[in-house]
Amino acid sequence: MNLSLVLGELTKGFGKTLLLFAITLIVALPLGLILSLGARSKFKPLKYLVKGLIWVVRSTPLMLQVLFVSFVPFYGFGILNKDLAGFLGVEIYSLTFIFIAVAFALNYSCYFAEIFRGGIESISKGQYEAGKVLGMTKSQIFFKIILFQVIKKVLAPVSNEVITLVKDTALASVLGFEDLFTVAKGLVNQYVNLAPFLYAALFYLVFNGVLSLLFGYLERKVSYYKE
Amino acid sequence: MAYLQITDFYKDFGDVKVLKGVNVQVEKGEVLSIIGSSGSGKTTLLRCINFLETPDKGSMVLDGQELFSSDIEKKDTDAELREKRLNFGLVFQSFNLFPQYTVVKNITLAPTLQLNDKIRQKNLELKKQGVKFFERRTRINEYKAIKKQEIEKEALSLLETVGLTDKKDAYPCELSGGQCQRVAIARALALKPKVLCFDEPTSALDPELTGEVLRVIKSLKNQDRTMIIVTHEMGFAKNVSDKVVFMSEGEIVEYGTPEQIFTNPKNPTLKHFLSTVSNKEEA
Repeated sequence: MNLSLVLGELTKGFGKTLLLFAITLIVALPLGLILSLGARSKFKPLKYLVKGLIWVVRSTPLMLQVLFVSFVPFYGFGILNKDLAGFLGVEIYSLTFIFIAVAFALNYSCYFAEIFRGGIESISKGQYEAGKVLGMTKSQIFFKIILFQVIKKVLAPVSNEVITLVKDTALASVLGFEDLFTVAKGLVNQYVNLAPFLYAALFYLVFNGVLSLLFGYLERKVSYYKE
Repeated sequence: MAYLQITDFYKDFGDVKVLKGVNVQVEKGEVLSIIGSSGSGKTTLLRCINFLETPDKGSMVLDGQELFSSDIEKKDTDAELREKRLNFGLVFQSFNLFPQYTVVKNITLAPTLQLNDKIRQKNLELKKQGVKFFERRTRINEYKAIKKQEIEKEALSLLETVGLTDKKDAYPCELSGGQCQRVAIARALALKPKVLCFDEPTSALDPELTGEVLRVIKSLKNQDRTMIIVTHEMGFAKNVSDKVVFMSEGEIVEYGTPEQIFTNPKNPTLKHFLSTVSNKEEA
């Protein structure tokens, strides 16, 4: 077993893991905020639609969702992946990644939505009323007063989800996406040696360590005030 | 007609009739105290005046302008509602300061947001007049800098009024309850309301901290501010008010000068209320 070769392969896999991780967060954090507002909407149909979506997504396995999304074009609309990739102007390989990213982003936005909803609902009514009597608009109240307090409250649960996401990226292997875990599994089989799993574990460990430090830093940053 | 004229306010919450035809008049520069036991509708009345609740029936005229009338079918737009609210300031029982901002930012936040709106409008006007982009930007920036300084200066002078100049960069969590409430008063004053309302401003405070807040309110009376104060502090109400109303079960039972209310109460409910309150104070 050539160590530098193995580490090189694993690093490439880790790059893919990072890509999925980043895209999921970039989409799911704002989408989660939008969904949390939808779940609190006074417009009943929207509220129940969003609540229903959150219920379905949180109640079924992420791996199932990944497979489901990848089957939708063909079983739902009779479109071959080859044709869809051609239509979108991407390689089949990238199409697989798009399926995975869609499922991940949707899944995580639902979890974030529930975290944000809890955060928003924990802000006292008095904060909104203080904004109102000071003549602020609804969006000014939300963005200038409420949002920051919500962010402070949800940092800890969000960091939990983010760390889980790092490990969940391994589920992308179900579609053959060459993330860190998939690559490690391949190497273990190829060399009949467990070491690649240990190296992969080290990658996950170090990355999550960095994330923990980052969130710790952010939590200290917003702890300059108390309620 | 009085400066602030409230006519026939009715408000139900489900089956509970909280306001049952309340009439209130306040003259300019006058201080009106509202007293009464809990659940008598004092706070709801104050919230209706500040457009935090909508009365089911009634009308309100301030300074000759009709702000609310249940006879008018058309609902106010958000912008109209905001404009109307700005006639009033409200100091809450629980302060409701914004915890993430310093004391001075708490005071300047709303005026700064208003300034930003004004700047947007001014920019559009200049654009219409055909002023070029760079010229426009220079003029807007100058205007903004001057106005921001004014807002800051005003905030500092308000902090002086409430005696908290040295706390301007502190966060609300670093202040005592009494200090928080004084900041809240300064924050409400920064928008120059025509009528300043207080909703039990000392009820959430430790007894030894109520004095500093009451002193600030009293100093505002000396500046001829129109104020409506919902309070449980009978001594203070007697001392600072020009008029006092006594509310019971959603109605105004007695209205008069502090002497009339506290020394010569006529209504038996008021007499009973005053005797229980004074017993408590003696105990």
